[in-house]
Amino acid sequence: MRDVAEGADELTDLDLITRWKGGDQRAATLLVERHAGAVARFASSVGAKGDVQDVVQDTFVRAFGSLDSFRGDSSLRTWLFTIARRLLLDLRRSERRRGEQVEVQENDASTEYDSLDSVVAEETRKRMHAAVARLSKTQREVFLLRVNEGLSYKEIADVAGTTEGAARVHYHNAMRGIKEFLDE
Amino acid sequence: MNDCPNADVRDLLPDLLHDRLDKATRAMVESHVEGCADCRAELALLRDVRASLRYSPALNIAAITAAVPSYRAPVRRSWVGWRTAASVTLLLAGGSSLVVMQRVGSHSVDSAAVVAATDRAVLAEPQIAHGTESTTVAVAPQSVEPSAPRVARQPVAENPMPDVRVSDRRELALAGGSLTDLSERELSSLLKDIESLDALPSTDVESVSISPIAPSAPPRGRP
Repeated sequence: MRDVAEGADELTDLDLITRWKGGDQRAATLLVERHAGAVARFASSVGAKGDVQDVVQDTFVRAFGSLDSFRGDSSLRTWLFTIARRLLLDLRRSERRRGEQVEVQENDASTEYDSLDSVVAEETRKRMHAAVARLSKTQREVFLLRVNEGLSYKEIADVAGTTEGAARVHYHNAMRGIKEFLDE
Repeated sequence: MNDCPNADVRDLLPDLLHDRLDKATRAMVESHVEGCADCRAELALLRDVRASLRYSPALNIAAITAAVPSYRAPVRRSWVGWRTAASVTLLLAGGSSLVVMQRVGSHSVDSAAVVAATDRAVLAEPQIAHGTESTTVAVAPQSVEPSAPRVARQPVAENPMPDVRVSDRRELALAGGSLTDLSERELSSLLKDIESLDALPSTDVESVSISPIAPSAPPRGRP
């Protein structure tokens, strides 16, 4: 068998899954490296704070534990987002039961996005953070899945447990809200 | 910042940003954006948002991959095993049912015999049952023909028998519950039969207890 690291970029997610099932643990590492960043971004956008690493790790552990149920109808990344979202909801529910603060505060976003593209001006970055932070939780989730991850409305609906039409409405409302904020 | 009235193109701007459009659609959208200031502004906004928020959080990839389990193929259920188990269960259930049915059948014969004997006792009561203490009805299954009570309990009106013997008519009258249907000769014959009984059961049907006897000890007075 060809070393999985060779030409890993050409290998699809399904190829890597097949190799992992064949006992190639390196294929699992490649899948983690390929999707962990996106899962972390998504987790942050839907409220993960200091527990991003735990959420991402649990997401992959669960995903690999049930990869036999992944039929490839959606992309692996979308499936991972769905798992991460469920994990976060469970986490937030248990925190709520314990009476902990679960709402994402506006300044949380600023601390979450410390690692910035140096090309982007600081002022623009701050304004964008502020604009996105004003959105409702659902609008923010849908908007960031659409703009940051490039998911289709259908994929967003699968992840967020809503309909394609509702995802489209949330996206356009979010875009209108951001424009209004930036025009103020 | 205004919204372009072409909602279809605006919908596709994030896909243009992520290069998820097919060649023809991409050409169409790019052509529109080129001549539309609102769409150019919106596309620039999307690029800014993406650049601002598409951060890379510090992740310990090694820890994540170390936690990922090795593949374990799901345990396949053996259909042969299930079929065998189902077959054995069916056989056991069927066998048990047969045994139960046989037992119920023999018990129903006993019950039929008891009913027949009880009926006779009820008939005999006005004549001779006074002063009799609670009596055990001893019935041997072999001593009673099960067909007799069954015939007697069939509805007469629905299936009248054109050629009925005297004894049968008597049984039919008993089933109907009316002695007036019997002729005088039949009544006297019935009384003779009753008088020939040397073991008189209790007239109280509720207190009748059943104790089947062994075949080696037939009821007294019967051959």
